[in-house]
Amino acid sequence: MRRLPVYLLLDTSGSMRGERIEAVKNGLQVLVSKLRQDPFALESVWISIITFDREVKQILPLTALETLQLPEIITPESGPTNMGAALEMLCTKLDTEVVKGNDTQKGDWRPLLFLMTDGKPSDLAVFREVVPKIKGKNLAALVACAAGAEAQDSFLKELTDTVVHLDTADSSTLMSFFKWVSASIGTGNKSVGTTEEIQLPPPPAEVHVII
Amino acid sequence: MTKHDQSFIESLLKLKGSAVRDNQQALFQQFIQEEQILKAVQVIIKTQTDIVESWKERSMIDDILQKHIMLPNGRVNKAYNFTFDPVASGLTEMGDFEWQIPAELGIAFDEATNTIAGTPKQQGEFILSLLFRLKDHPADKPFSEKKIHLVINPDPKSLWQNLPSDQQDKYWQPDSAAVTLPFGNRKLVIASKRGRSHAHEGKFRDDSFGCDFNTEKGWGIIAVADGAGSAKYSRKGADIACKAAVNSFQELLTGDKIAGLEDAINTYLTDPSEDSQKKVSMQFIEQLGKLAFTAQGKIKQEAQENGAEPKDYATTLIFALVKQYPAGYVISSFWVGDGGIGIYQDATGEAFVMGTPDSGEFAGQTRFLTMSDIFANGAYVNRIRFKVVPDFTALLLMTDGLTDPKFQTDANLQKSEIWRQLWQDLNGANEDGTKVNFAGSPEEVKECLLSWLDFWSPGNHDDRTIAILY
Repeated sequence: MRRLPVYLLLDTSGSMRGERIEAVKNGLQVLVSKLRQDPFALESVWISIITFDREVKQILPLTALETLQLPEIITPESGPTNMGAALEMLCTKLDTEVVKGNDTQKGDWRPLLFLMTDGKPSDLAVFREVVPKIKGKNLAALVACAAGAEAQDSFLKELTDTVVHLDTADSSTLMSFFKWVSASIGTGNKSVGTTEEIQLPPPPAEVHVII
Repeated sequence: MTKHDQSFIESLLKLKGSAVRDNQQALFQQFIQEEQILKAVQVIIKTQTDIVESWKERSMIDDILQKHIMLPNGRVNKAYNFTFDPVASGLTEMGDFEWQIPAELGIAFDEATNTIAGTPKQQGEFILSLLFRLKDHPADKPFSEKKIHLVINPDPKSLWQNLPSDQQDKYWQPDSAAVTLPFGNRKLVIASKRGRSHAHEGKFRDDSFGCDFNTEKGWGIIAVADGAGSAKYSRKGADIACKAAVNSFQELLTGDKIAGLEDAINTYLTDPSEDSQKKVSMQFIEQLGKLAFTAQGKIKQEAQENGAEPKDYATTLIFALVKQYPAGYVISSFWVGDGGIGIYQDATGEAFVMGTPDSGEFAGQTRFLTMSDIFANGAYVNRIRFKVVPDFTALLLMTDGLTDPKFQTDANLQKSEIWRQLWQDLNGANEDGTKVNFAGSPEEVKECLLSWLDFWSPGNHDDRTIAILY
């Protein structure tokens, strides 16, 4: 069975507390519900969620869409945004959770990564060190989302060419982002050449692509 | 009055600032003997006990309500079975309980086995009620209610849509196609169907095929190709690749080059020495290489004429040239990309696989005919094979829409055992009992093969194309 691994890296630092994190939770709920209506996703998508604030936690290990139940997401009062450490953890998880193809086993589809933050990496040295490692992982798509006015696109640009910006991090904007993520996951199953990135569907009006 | 009651009153009076003074002992003794006081004390003590008990009960119920009970997700049409063990779930204080599950869900709680079981009928997110009493509650005490979330996933089979592809598109091809062709003393059948993943989105079938048999020369060609899902014109790429291979094959037969190939084969069949094998190999490499190279060229030309890139037409290609000699069948093949080609002999259960698929680290990664390095530095030599077999049951060419579900891995593709299973599968050994009766008329074989291609395999919904020379 070929799996399509989808990694969601979510900023849970203090600034996300309140409406924003509630919007993210609703967004995840909708994402999962929508994907469950897509027959291909239902049979192949596996999702993992890694949250980062002061601590980095994989709150959902890579789990089949069909069986997964969304975990609680808790945000601390305040503290740094350890995005670099989260990407470090992602590297480890990609190595241990994703099945690479060889003669005797069928590989998974190339994994997709969606990272969302409303700030910037506090652990910049770690972040810059891990970026080349992530780029070497041959992901099918790497989408970074800067949500809200305080989010800084420039750091995310170092990580990927696909940076989207949400002017406001309110419920409806975040919801349209998550809907777009679910549409993007839907395209992740297409057979592609060795190094090509998948073509993402056009984002909705609220989601600006940073060039 | 008991000692306990007496000290209770003394404490109460003290607490309220009216402690019994030493000189009032006689008065106090008289006071506590009064009927009315005795009764009041009983009431107070009972009320206090009730309050404490009531709080304990409330707290225990709340513990049960707060406890997270996770019901595994169900799926419509798939048997559901969940054993409910209150103690293991941490509900140690729970006594009698009852599940309230809407009847229309298709699942129910069975007291005998302590399981929630059945076959879910409806998809969606539902709230189930667990009605319960605490352990020491009497049976007439009203139930408390705990709400528990249950997700029933849809049956993936019910979600696939079958939307027509756009017939106005310049590169449109039918969603399903098949052909039969007399092939000397053999028969050829090819069937190709659009995958569910494409049908769901109204996209095109990206697989293609081609074939020809020249009765006079006794040579035939069979080709299958799989256009890359990510390339916008790949269906045309697959179509051009097959057509170009067939056209160049026809040109080869009319030209004088075929004589050189025939000579080399005849020499090899009479004297299979290392030297004659080398010569015949060289011939096949030259002639098949040319066929494949021409196919790549035709695609490049099409791309140029349409202001597109060759990679927009990315496709795999497998083709085989076959001729029967008195000594047996000479089969030669070219293979780029995934899918598979093999010669199967049912009497021995043996399969000969004519090469290895190109596959990458991740699923869906392969190499395409359109890649510029395919013909660089003689790299294509290893893509060409030839084999002489006295007899065979079937020569099969398939795109990955078939090899993925039927062989799973590249290692399995080399195993005769799996080829034997595939042959039995074609002959009816499958869940649906769909059988291709190869003894039947070509038309019947073609129709059966088209139905057989509809088999269900979770996660495998690519276009499926199979060519069988039998």
